[in-house]
Amino acid sequence: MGDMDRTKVIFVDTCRNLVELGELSKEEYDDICDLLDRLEEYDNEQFKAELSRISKGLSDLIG
Amino acid sequence: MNSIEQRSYELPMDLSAERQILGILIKHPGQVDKVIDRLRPAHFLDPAHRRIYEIILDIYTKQGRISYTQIYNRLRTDAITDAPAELLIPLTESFVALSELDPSLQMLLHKEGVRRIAQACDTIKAMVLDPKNEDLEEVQAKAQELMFAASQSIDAAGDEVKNLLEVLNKCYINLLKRREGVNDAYGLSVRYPSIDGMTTGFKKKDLIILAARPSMGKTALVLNMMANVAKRDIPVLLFSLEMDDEQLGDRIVLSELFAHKEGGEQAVTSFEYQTKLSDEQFLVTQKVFNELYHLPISIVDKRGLTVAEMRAKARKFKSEHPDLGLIVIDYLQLIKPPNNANRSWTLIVGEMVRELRDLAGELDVPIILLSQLNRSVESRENKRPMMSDLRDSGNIEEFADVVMFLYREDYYNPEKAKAEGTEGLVEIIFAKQRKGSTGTVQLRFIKEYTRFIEEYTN
Repeated sequence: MGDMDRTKVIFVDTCRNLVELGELSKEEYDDICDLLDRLEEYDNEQFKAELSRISKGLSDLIG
Repeated sequence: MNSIEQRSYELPMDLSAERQILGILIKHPGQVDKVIDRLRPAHFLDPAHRRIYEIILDIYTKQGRISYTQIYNRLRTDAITDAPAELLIPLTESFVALSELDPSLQMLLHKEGVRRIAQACDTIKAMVLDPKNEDLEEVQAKAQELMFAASQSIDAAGDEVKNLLEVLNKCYINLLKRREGVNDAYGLSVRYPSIDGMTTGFKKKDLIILAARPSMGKTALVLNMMANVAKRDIPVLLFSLEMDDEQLGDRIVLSELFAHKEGGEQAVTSFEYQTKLSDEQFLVTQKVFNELYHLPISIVDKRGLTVAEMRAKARKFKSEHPDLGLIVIDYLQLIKPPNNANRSWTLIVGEMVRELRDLAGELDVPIILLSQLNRSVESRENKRPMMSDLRDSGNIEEFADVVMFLYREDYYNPEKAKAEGTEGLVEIIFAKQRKGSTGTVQLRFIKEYTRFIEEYTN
């Protein structure tokens, strides 16, 4: 559980940096935050699919 | 130099408990409901922790739910830190189980309470050592105020919301007590059936104004009521800003001498009491003294007391006598107003009365506040006091739960009173009762003995 939180925070942190670098839009970032807040509702595949819908580039980045 | 710079000790704190609570709230937002009414940002000593808790409260209040990412984003947008992850990760990793919430909460409440007392001590020390503060009694009163405020819990919000079931439960218990004839179900009886009949006893937390022109018998009536209360072993506290302790004591004795006379014992007149007594009269008087010695009446006979000073003394008295049943203040116009009052007299009086009503609520006792009416009463034909007569002395009727006026026909029209047989009769006019009806009752005033007795009529 601790690892999940750590991963979640680091992921948000990364996304935020991507917004600042212009690689991710503010809207995409907000959608990703919503997705992370509802993380428990998804399994791995659903999460990847949802992430891909929000940001193809980011989804590809994390494989 | 302020008191913080002079502090020679570490403020009591528990950063680990602060982290645990925040971590639990961030990871389990549903737990916010359990702490929100007891935990304030001030309970967190670490500024970053305090800010995070403020953010949690803000998000929760506005949106009804909180999330990890919302807190993360607020930490960034509010520029609290450049690296929110470094702040958040240790928080969410600071606890193992939800069951840690309550002990950590208790710890923060405790530490914060101790900190407030320590800070009050610092402030008191700085105030005491400041050469500008020369008035010892003022300093003592202020010190008591500070310590009292520091001793009050800031998590009292939990008592503010009461559901109807709780309220009705209390009403039902009182109803049962009244049915069973248990005394405390009513307010405080002053053992004058006509007055008790109107009020069903003076209620705790109520401010009762007893107002009249001079010489109507205000002080005599409250002294009689006080003695009646104290005879049931209920402590009474009197602030007498006019009469000194001996004058008051003599009045109480005289009043009781009347009761003995009525009981068929040797009469002792006021004149005889104050001059010379026969052996038999002395024995009766001694008996009265013996009966009165044990009464729990306490008197503060000091002129020029402020409300703050009376509050400090009353709080101390209440802490020493938790069963305090009644406070009497004789009288409003002799209370010293605050020093820095540049406001109108009306506003100042209104403020003092409001503070006394708050004191009644805080100490959970009725307070009877005597008030002298000004001469405007006498400029009209019907000299019975009215509510509007109080307005010149500030809007005190607004803050009063009960307003009683005394009126004696024989004072203004002695001949008429004699002709109509109303000599010695005193009208007690209930002009306002928040919890009861208005109306007028009569008592007979035996002036020589400063004694009020029931006037039984057909």
